[in-house]
Amino acid sequence: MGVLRTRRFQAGDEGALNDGFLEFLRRRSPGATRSLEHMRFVWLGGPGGAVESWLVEEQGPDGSWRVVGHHGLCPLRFTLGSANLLCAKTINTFLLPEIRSRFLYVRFEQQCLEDACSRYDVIYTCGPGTSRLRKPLGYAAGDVWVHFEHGSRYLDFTTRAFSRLMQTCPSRPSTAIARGWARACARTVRKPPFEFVEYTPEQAAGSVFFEEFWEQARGEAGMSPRRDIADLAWRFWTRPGVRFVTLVHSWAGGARAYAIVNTANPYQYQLADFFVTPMRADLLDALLDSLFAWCARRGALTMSVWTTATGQPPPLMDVLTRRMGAPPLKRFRRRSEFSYRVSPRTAGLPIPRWNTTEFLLV
Amino acid sequence: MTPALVRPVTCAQIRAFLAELDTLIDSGTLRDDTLFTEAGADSLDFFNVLTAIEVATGVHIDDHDIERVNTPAGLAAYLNARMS
Repeated sequence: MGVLRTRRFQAGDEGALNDGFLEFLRRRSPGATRSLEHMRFVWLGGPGGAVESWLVEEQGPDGSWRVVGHHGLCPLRFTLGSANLLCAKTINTFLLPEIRSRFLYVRFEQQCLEDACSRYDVIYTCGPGTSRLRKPLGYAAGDVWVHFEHGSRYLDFTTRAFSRLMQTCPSRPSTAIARGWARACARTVRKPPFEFVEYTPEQAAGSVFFEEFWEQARGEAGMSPRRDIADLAWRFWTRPGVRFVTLVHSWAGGARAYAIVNTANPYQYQLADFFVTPMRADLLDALLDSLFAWCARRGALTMSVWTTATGQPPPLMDVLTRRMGAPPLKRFRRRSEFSYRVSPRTAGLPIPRWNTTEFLLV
Repeated sequence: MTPALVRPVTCAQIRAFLAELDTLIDSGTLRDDTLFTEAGADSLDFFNVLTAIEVATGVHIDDHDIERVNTPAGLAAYLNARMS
């Protein structure tokens, strides 16, 4: 067992940190992968600034050091009404299991927080077990994440079952069955309330639609990541190795909506982010109608979305609950939590409601 | 109320002390030389245990000494060497 040390991340540590994090991930998910390009993009390219990282290292017999633990804070620009805030999300926090009896991780994270908290308005964290771990560090248990899933078109349960089959047994027969079912569903799509304008990432980043969007929408969004072009581009449109489709619609009278969909799995689409302004239930209802039709026509079997239990205003949550059910076997999964810590510089900040989608997960 | 830790601190005292803390440690599997993490403690439990021990005894446990206090026997020996 080698000596342990802690230090701040420096330029050039990317490879060692990525290797250490992947070693941790692969003990649970052997196929887990993340390119160095992707890691660098997240660490260095965010409009809120570079990720702040602290490393735990162990010295090997040959005197070299390897990363065995890490705490990171990813800066994200938020708005709360007219106020601009700089928040941070914990990122890639881990400690290899064999080190846990030799190193007081919570004390380490406490020291990282003391170092960084004056630079942020709010620090938040997501994941199973996070609220228990971080309560002594001043995090308040905020909420739990909820997962909604819609089976495209009729016989929702059957469609979701096919989708699940594709996920667990991606064999040729199951693919053929799922594809046939998807084609049958696509033929029965009813006329949606409206047709989207569809943008590629490049078109979205240069579109007039998003130029003033957030300045108009932020007033009613609650505590929300900025949805301006710089933030959306970093979070979705220019991220290496992921492909998102951006769908937008403008109603007569000025109401507007967008949806950003991860189409990496052709049968299981993920609604990574959406926003309707004004935040009215009838507009979200129409957005979902058109979105489900769009999915079905493209052959997707399911559309899922993550938010927290209070991550949308109650009328919008009612629409999500009514139009999209919980995925099968949800009760057997560990609940993913959402906790946050208001820093001393913004003590007393009244946070009425967080607007949560996958945007917050980084 | 947590039981007192008095010199000479024994493993039985440590176990009785831990039993009063709100942790995930399974006292049924915690032998003198069992790592706290092997008995179910997570990072937070380990932190809470050592913080409570520090408060109860006045002995500060340095980060570099964590490996010496990760079992009941190691913790008892550490405290006995430092408690006045």
